[in-house]
Parts: sequence; C-alpha cells; structure tokens
Amino acid sequence: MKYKQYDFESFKILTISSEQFKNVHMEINFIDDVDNIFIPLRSFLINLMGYTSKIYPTKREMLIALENLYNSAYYTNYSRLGKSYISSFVLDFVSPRYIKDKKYLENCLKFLCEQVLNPNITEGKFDERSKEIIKERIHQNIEHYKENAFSYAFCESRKMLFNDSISGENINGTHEEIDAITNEDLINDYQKLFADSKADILIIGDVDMDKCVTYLKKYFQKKSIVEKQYVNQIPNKIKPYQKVVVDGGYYQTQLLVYLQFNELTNFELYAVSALYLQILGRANQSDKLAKYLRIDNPLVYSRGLRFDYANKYLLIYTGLKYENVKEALKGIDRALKEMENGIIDEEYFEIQKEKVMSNMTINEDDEEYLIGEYYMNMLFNRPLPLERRKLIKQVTIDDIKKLAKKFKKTLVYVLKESLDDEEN
Amino acid sequence: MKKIEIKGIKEIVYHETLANGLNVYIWSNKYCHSFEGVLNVFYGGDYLDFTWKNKKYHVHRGGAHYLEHIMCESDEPMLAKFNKIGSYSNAVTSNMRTSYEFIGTTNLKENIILLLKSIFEKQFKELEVEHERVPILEEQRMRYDSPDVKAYFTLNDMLFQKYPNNLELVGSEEDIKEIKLDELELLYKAFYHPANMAFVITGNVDVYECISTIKKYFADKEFNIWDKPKLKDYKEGKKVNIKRKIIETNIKVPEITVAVKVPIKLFKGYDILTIVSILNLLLESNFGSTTLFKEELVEKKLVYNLFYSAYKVYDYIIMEVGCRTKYPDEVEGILQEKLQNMKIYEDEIMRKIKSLIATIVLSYENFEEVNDNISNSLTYEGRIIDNEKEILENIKIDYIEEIFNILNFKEMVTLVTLPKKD
Repeated sequence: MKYKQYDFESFKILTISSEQFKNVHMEINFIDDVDNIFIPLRSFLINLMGYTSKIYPTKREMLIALENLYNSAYYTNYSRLGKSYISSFVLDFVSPRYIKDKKYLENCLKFLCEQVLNPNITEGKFDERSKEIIKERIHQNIEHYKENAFSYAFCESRKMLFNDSISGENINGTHEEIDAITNEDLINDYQKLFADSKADILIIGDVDMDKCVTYLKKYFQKKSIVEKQYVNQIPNKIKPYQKVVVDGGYYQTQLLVYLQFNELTNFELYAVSALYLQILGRANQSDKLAKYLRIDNPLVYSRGLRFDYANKYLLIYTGLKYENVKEALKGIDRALKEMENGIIDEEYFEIQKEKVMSNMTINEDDEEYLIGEYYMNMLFNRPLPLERRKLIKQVTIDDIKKLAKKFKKTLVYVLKESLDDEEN
Repeated sequence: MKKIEIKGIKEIVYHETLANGLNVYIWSNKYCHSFEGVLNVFYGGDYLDFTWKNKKYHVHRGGAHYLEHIMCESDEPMLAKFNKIGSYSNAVTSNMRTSYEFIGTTNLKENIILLLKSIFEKQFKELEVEHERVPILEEQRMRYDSPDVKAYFTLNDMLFQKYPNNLELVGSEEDIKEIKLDELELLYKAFYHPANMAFVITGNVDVYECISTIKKYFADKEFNIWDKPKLKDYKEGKKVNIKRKIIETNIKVPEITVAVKVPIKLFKGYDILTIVSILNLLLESNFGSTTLFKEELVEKKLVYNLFYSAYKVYDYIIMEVGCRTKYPDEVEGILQEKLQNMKIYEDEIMRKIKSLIATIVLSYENFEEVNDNISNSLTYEGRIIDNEKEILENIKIDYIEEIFNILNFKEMVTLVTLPKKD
C-alpha cells in the first residue's frame, strides 16, 4: 500500500494505491467552518449537486452515463465534525485494470469533476425542478428519524442535552428553514463553496495515481487558495444532571444515558478511549455492560455505545421493558464505577488491547476507512493507524481510571413504551 | 480439494465434502488483512413441520432462533470466547438457515476449532434456556418496532396461503414463553448434522491449513448417517391469500407495495436462475432509475423512490415493486397498471447487462461479501453460482420475449402501509 500526497496551490490530492481493491474510490471534498456557512443551505446545495448537473440535467441522464462507465456510482455526502463541515462528491468505479477502454479512467475523473464544476445552473438559476424534488426529499429525511425507536430517542435526547449548541441540531435543518431557501441563496452558496472552502481530493484503489493527477490537473480547477486550521470539536459545557421520562409510540422502551466530558489529552482521545469503550461495552459479551445487563442479570438483548468526541459526549443505550429500567440503570452505574476504580483483570486488559488492534486491522480491508484515516490525519493531525497502535500498546489500567473520572453522567433519557397499541 | 472456477473473473473457490457429509468452501485472497468463517446450518425459522424417525412434529415458531441463542451459551458465552482469541463472533437466523460466524486477523486454527467445538460439543442446560428468555423477548420487541419487518411478514401473509413464512421468525411473545429445553434438543438432533451444514471460510487464509484443521478436529468424532427430516410439503396453491391490505406502522410517509405470485412450474425446462435474472432486468428496465416512468413519477412529486425485485420463494417467483408516496390512492393504480403492462426495452436491457457484468468483477473483493454470496447461493440454489457472468452474457432479446410471454400477472397483491395515527 503506497501513500502519496500531491500539493497544488489551491488543493491537495491524497492517494493510496493498493492492489487489494478492485473498486476505485474517489472523493472531492470541501471543508468549511460551521460559523461561516448556513448549515441547512449547504446541505441542500450538496444534495442538489448530487442529483443533476449541467451536462446531465436529469437524474435519468446522469444514471445512464454512469451505466456507460461500467456501473460507476456517483453520490454526494455531507457531515459535520465539530466546528467543521465537510461536503463530499464521490465516485466509485471499477479499477481500469479490468476495463479495455483506454479512455475509461480519464472519462471517470472527468465525470466527477464535471459534477462539481458544472452544476445544473441556467441563466443564473439552479434548475427549479431538481430543486423542488430535493426540497421534498429533505422534508422527508427530516421526519425519517421517527420511524425507528432508537433514532427517535437519540435525536430528541440530543436536542434536549444540547439545546444551546449546534450539537443538538439536525444537519438538514428544520422544515421552516428548508422552505425559506431560495434559488438565489443556493447560487450564492455555490460561489461561496468555491471561494471560501478548502478543497482536497482523495483517491484509493488499484490505479495509476500519476495518471489520475495528470487528468485532475486538466479537469479540476479552483482559483481561491484557502489555508486555514479547522476545529473538529464543539466546546459544549458539562450540564447539570437530569432524568427525563417521555411517552413514546413504540413497543420497546429506549434507555439512553449520556456522559459528558471537558478536555481529553491526545493520548486519551486516540488510545485510552478505544480501550475504555472496548472494556465497558464493546467486547462481545465479555464487557462490563454485557455482564450487568445481559449475563448476570438478563434484562436486555442488545446494548450500544457511541463516543462522540466532536460533540463531547459518551452515550450508552439499550432497549428494554420499562419495568426493568431501574435495574438496568443500576447495572450501568456499576459498570461505570468499576471503570473508574480500575476493576479490570490484567490478563483480560492485555487481551482487549490486542482485540482493539485486531479491529483496526479488520478495518484495513475497507477502502473508505483507509482513505478517511489519511484525510483526518492531514486535516486534524489524527495519528494514522500505525501510530495509534503504538499509543494503544502504552495504555495502562491507571490511564483508564483517569479517563473514566472525566466522564460525568448528565442525562438519563427514557422513551417509555406505549402499551395501548392494540397489536401489542 | 476440488477447484470451482468462477467463470469469467478468474476467481477460485475450493470445495471438499468430508466423510461425515460437511461441505467446506474456501476462498483465499492474500491481499485481505482478515478472514471470516461461517458455519451454515441449513435449518431456519420456516421449518415448523417435519417428520423425523417416523414421527411427525409441529414445533413453535421461533424455535430455530431460540436454538441459535442457546448454541452461543455455555459457562462462558461463545462470543466472549472468541473475543479472548482476538476475534469477533455472531450468529444469525433466517428463514432457511442459521449461521455462526467469526471474523479475525490471527489465530485462524483456534477460531476454526472453537466454532466447531461450540456447535458439535454442545451440552444443553435448562438454566441456559431460562436465562436467554428475556433477551429473546427483548429482541422480539425490538423487531416489532421495525416497519420493514412488519411489512415483510404481512406481504408474505398476503402472497401465500400455506407457507409458514408469514409470521416473525423469532416467534410471538407466547411462542417464546412456551419453548422448552426438550424442543430445542429435538431440533438440534434432527438438523445439526454435518451433512446439513456448509463451512465457508474467506479472506487471508491458507486453504490447506483450513481443511487440515477441520479434518483433524473431526478425526476422532463419529457421526451416524444423517437421518434427514422430511419437511412438510405445504402444497401451496397458486392463488394469493389476501389481495389488498392496509396496515399502520411507524413510517412517516405512506408506502405502496404491489407483488405478483408466479409459479415456477410455468417455466418447466428453463434454468430458474436465468429466469430470475431476466425478470430482474425486466423490472429494472421498466421501473429503474434510468426509466422515463420513474423520472415522470418523481418529477410530478408522486413518489420519492421506486423499489423493485424478483426473487424465488420455494416453488414461486415473486415480482415486487413499491414506492414511498404522499399519494397512495393515486399511485396504487399506476404501479399495478405498469406492472401488468411491462414492455421489453431492448437498448435499456442490453446496457444494463453490460453494466451488471462489470459489477460481478467487484463481487469478489471483500471477504465478508464473498462469504455472504457463497452462503446465500448454497442456501437458495444448493450450489455455488459460478456462471453469473455467463448467464448475463448469454441473455438474448428473443429469449427474454419467450419468458415474458409465459408470465402472467393474475395473482397480484397490494400492501398499503400508512403512518400510525398519533
């Protein structure tokens, strides 16, 4: 596997060439500070640019072109990482090694660049039909979380915990915000994307990277040079503890326990936390949450953990009967207490270190993981997997205790089962 | 070991049938960093009625799934044992199969032995059966909240009069509460025989290390010849059970699904895998994202999406199309009419065949996907599909027309899923 970075005046190209993959994954990314953009507008724009373009003014035409590129897949993505907003234009295509057409690689790269550089704008306006379709879809997406009991509980509890920060907001915005977005707003935001954002291109796969760079120089242009340090965290403050019970319309009760934290050291963030999470709830029936919620006291089926450094919280969640919530909370508290007190068998601790590193190795079979890690390293100095392994080896049980003490339980959110559903 | 060549993409799957009847399939790729082993037991949630050793049995729905949970229990849970050797492990029950898997990066031999021991040296304990009851009930409650699960089983209930695939395969609350140790032991004895299993190993593995480890494990173990349970022939008739049904679930936008039940026996003398491929191509060229039909529905804001699929269910092929829509009353008729009046668009079909062939190249890249593909084709086709590319390359328009003329759309159902009223 060969890592290589190509620096140009207004953008960088990060590449990983590997014979392992038959698929080539390519992203053109733009990064912004959330304070400089209106998030729902930017999300709308990125959705719209994934739908049609100047050359392919209908979705149908775009998909036919992709089928002619041997079933390549084009899509857009957007995410918020702390105070940074990343817009991605992605193309997945079969490695040119398997295709006889000599122009195939060039055509694939040209296709992706066209989507970014030539949006579906005529006479200073985005295509109104595409805009209306995307608007409808976003309205639907905003409601989608209500279809799943956990998603509903998660979104509602986040809104409650982060009522004073963007951490509680939906990246798609609200129905009112979406309705208020005009064609002019979208045009302005597209110009802003090119003027104010930092651009990077990522490529991974079995492909001649020098050739890719030659084609990208030919087809991708960005005039503005943006050199800025981006922040991948929201400075959320630890809230006072509260417990909330809400009636839900679902069959199973959802229990969510939030723990917040202030500052973590890089060692805690990149190494200690991985082991902490593994021992608390990710060790496949041998972790502490499994012990107290499933094995010693069978109350639940599945449990989960979500560690969100960008928004500064750790979430423990499970589904169960409402009558078992009290017992489950006792079990969770006991597991957390044992982490604080370092009640961890030494041999087991070493095994879990190996397991964490084994999980990292398994991820190395995933193209998006590999290129994503490389990108995070460039953007936020996140250590590459090789470096993280070295750090993980150094973690001690004392480090776990120190980290555990930094987590403060601030919200217990219970979405209570509905018992009046006749089918229940 | 025999080599099975996946035609046209230069991939090899190794196969051997052991003396006890266990089939072993191995796909090795030096570029992968990890490996996966899946022991598939060809016994799943639909197997409720069978005759074994001259005795007829009717068992609880959810028995296969309950047994899967119990197989993972012992003094120390199976999943925790795998964790100790650095691997991930899980188990899954579907309608025709129960699968036990490990994913790891080191200790391949230990992983293989641990999985075989867990399955073939199982000691059943009453306590374990009771211990798992609450987690299984919670799993059932979790699944009952899923709109997709509810729609899937409702559609089966509408399509089939007799097949036992119309109820949640984890069972109802009542089923789960009634399942006892003796029933689980019966199911284990009847179905958990090596001759009813396939061990599929994929990823960065040495083929000979795998097979020799498996053989070594079985060297001192004796199995009687498998007395194969005779599954009930449900004699499913060609008529559908319920033509139209409205249900309410947690969805926020209504969904319409229209499905047609087509007897496989209509296609006597034809290769069924080819038929299913052709029907999928027909659906895609009439309802897919590159059709004018979809474009028009989306642009008129009548639908948000369109989904479609042709698949085999025992002796029938189901052709299904559906969408999410704010206007279910209007769209229901449009979908029904379009399905009944599909056309053969030659250019569209030929372009799709070309692009699908490219996709086949990608299907042998990721070790988990390869394992899934092999396990699925063994379950539903009884063999590894080694000629998918060939099938697609040989599809000609006159053949599609021939198949199309055999199709009939008489047995059609429509499922309308509406949001629950607040």
